[in-house]
Amino acid sequence: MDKSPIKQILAIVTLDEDVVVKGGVPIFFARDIDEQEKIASDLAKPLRGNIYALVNGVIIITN
Amino acid sequence: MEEKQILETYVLIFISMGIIVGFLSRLWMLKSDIRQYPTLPNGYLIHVTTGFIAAAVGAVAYPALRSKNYVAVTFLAAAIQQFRDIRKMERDSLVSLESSSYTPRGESYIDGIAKTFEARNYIVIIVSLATTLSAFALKKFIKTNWIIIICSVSIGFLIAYMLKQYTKGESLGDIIHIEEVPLEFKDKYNLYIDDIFIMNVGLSSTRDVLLKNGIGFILKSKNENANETIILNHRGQITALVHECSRLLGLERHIRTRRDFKTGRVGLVIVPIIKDSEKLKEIILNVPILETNRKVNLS
Repeated sequence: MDKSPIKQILAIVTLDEDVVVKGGVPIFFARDIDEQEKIASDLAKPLRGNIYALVNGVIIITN
Repeated sequence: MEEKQILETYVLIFISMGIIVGFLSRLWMLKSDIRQYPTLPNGYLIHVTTGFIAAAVGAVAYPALRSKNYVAVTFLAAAIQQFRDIRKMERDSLVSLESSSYTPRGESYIDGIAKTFEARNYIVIIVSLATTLSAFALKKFIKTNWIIIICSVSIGFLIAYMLKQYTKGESLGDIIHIEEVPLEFKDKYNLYIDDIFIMNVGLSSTRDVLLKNGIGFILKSKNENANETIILNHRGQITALVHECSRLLGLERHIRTRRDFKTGRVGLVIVPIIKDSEKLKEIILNVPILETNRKVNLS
């Protein structure tokens, strides 16, 4: 449906340091799931991004 | 003295009869698609007025030729040009509205709407022309004017009816079944309806909203006929469908469609402002099949 422009990961919110390798994207650590979701939704608002979850518990925010 | 009169009374009567019949048929055709377009009241007035002009052009065409006024034919050409501009005007105004809507109509839909408006003006010309033409033809056999009027008016309306039937498009209800399916999340964050993946939702609060207020539908072609599946899976068609749903029921948050490539089904999830799945069903079934998308049966 949407014309797919190039999507990029804008930020990563994770509980577990081990599952992400530090790359070009800001990574935020959270203490628990509630905080993780709160951070994700806070980040998505100014970035106008979409929030997606991954199987390993990481939340990514894309444009 | 009688001879030199520019318009004899019966000619005047026949012409005004043609105009009235054409005009009424335009009004009649406008009424039938108020669900989608034109907008009331100004869009409506524009089309009533151009319909009246079209009726006048059609009605005077034959009398003008009859009085050996061949120049009059060029007016017809000029009028046709005007009506082509109606298509352009409709298209431009609809395209300019696209960016202000959450869910665009889509260009195929706009093209269909614009073409319909142009075609309806031609229908009016044809109806008016046929009405006056038949009146003059009957004049040779019948002497009483009011019998002629009754006959030609009915001929005019008959032609209007036939052309209306001919140009009438089908709607999605003719080719698809829809089925309401509960939403469910698999692996916690992947939204599925039945076995069609719709989207990934990362936040649990959004997931709760979707589960509480979301409505899920699966659209499936009635027959296992390839044509119907192709029509359903056309992008412009789905855009038109999404537009109609969200325009008529409002959009609280999401509307998402996803095709199932294996079976040709389409999954639709919407969180409307008016949460009425019966209404939604009716809307989906009444979405017109776009003219660009229509297919003649191969089999």
